[in-house]
Amino acid sequence: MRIARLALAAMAGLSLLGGAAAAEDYPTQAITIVVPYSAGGTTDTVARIVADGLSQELGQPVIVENKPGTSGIIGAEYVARAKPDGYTLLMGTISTHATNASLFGELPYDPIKDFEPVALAAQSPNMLIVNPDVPAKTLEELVQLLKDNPGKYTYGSNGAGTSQHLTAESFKAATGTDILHVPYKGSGSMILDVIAGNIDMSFDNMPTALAQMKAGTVRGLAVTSAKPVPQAPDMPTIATVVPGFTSGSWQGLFAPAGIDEEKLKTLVDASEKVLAKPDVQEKLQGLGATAGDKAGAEFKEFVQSETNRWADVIAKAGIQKN
Amino acid sequence: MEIFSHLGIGIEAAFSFSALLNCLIGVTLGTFIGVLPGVGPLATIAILLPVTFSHEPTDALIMLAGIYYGAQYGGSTASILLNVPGTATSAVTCLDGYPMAQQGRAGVALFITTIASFFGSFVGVILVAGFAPLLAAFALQFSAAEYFSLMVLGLIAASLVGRGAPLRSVAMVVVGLLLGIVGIDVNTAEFRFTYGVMELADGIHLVIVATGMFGVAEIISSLVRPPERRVASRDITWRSLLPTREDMRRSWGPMLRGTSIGSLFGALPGTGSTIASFIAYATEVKIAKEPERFGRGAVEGVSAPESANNAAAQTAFIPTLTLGIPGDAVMAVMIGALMIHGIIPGPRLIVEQPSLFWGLIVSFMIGNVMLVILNLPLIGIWVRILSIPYSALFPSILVFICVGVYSIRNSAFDVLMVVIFGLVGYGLKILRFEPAPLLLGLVLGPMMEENFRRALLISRGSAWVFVERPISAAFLLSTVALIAWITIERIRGRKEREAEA
Repeated sequence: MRIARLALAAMAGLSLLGGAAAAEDYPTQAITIVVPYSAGGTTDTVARIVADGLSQELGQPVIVENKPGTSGIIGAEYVARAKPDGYTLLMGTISTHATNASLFGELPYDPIKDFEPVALAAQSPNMLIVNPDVPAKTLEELVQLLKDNPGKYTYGSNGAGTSQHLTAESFKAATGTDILHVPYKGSGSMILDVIAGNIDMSFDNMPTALAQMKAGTVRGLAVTSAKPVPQAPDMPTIATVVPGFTSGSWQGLFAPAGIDEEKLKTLVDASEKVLAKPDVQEKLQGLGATAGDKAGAEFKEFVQSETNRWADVIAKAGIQKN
Repeated sequence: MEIFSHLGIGIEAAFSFSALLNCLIGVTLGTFIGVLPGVGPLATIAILLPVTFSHEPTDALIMLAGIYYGAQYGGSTASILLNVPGTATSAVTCLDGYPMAQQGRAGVALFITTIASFFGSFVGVILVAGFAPLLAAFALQFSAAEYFSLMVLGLIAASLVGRGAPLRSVAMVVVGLLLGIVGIDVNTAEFRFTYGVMELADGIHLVIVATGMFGVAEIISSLVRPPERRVASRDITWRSLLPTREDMRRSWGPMLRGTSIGSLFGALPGTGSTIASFIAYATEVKIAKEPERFGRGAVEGVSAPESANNAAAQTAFIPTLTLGIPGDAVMAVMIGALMIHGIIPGPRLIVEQPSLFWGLIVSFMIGNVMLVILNLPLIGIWVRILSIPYSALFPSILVFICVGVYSIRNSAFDVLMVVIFGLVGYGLKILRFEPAPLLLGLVLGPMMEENFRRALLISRGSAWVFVERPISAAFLLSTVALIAWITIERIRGRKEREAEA
């Protein structure tokens, strides 16, 4: 492992020497964005929207390649070991670059040292929804109800260790409540169980939750973002009742560590331009996300703060490392 | 009649030039990716998603949906001709389809498949058009307890799939269940049976096992013991492709039953067409007068599962379109496609987007007619593949298998796994163990476990939940009745044999 790292570092150094001259006319060939999840998921769709924009901006094809597996570890490891020539990038997520470090005992990559953050691509808050039979009409009432009935109510997540699970655990810790966790393999059957009343609530993805709420099959109580979201401007944030509470998942573009600074700057600038485009923002909004507003050093800080913060939540919730 | 005015809206939307073109592109593409082993509709649809950004939402969905149900038509082709399932949903079609091909009846099998697929799909579409909200309400009655009990019934009913001795079948089901445990546990995120191999953490993909145990194992055994005679190309006449009256007579019942089973499973989110095809096959074996014909080229063994998986592929749109809840991963991608266009599928989709909903329904009908027109002439071409000498054919089959399996997760590890499962499959074949029950265990096992634990979690550990809920209790009661029936049959059969002796 250590030898491989050294070899990698040496290779990175060599390519730095050789790459200096070529940096001016980067990119000269197709760029690959590795998505560490299956085709068709949110991360994949975000990556394809960004790739579409980047290829227009950079004048070279930008290809999305899916390397799914194990909470994104397989794809992230692949990019961590790729040549830092700017032609292999990663669409990292809150899992690969913030929570995995605390959930898995030993990661085959270092989320901080092995990567150079390029830009935050998208942030998606969750919406707290409850079954309409739950006798709480507002978030305050729900918190009171949960405090009066510890352990009586249930919440669904799309799997242990996912951002939905961690959001709920962090909510429980912040409010001092006890809600039973019921994990699912995908969010489809979970929201169905909220509608049918088999479970009481969930912190669900915005677009689906919003559509169900509008149809009256579930009751939406609050969003997990810091500010109200444009898709549901009247919905309060959880922070109005639980001060300082924010959560949600995010995706961001990463390059392997050791990438030439010029190339990184090209990528950062291009990403910023793409994410500022109204049509890109609109497409991301359709997914229930907002376009990322942090790039380069600012994004790097964000990644570090997310890593620390979720490590704290995971430790407090007593979730064991693998 | 309200339905006619609705269909009118749909006809208007689906008969526009762009809609027809997208439908044709979708179903054609679907047929071909269905034929290729490993390459499934999920990856294809996801890759084509950006292409549809610029389309009208209805046109985009018509094309993507066409790929999905078109793949169900194509999926059985490789199963029948080469014993390599083109899609997971047609793995069970190998059992009788391939023996039919070996008997020189590949054309008939493909013909019956096309008819059965069309029948299943069309009934499925009619159900979606006429009863979508009703079926969706039924699906809402299913909680974890009901799912578990249904799976128990399915597993018991189908555990005797295949022609092997019952004990061997049960052993294979258990192996399948064990393989299904491999991977990260949903409830605790604990690694199970991965032995430090990261690639195993997401479990063993069904397509890998199916392709290995049917396809690769078949190649090995064909090379060890070459088939006596290949079909000569001049033997292929139109007449030899057409099913006899006897074939058709035998197929109606299975098609009807397969379609009913498929429609039910399709409408339940999270179960899907693979299970439907297995259960439909098992049902036919159970009710057949001569169950020993199955696995030896029984036409019912092709028509039932093919009707079932196609019907399920259509009714899978019910939870998606009426509740906004994806029944499987492909449906999740389609919901994603709509969301990018600013349409969020939910319970109000039919009311808010009538031309999208009804346009899609009418396009399903058009698409299925196109598929029949496309697939019938293709039979003649596919059958000719069999006239290629096997020694020339098998390297290309292997290449297709490798490419297809690699494309699932872009993982070389998966290709290695296929080889391993191929060798294991060959070994089991020598020992006369059937791979089908193993696949069934692998499909049902993880779902049974997930729902069993969820039901108990929600009931706070009370196992009574499985009998307190009426639908669940009915499934369990049917299971008990089935076991009793089989046992009585067995005892009676033994007594008769003793009496004869």
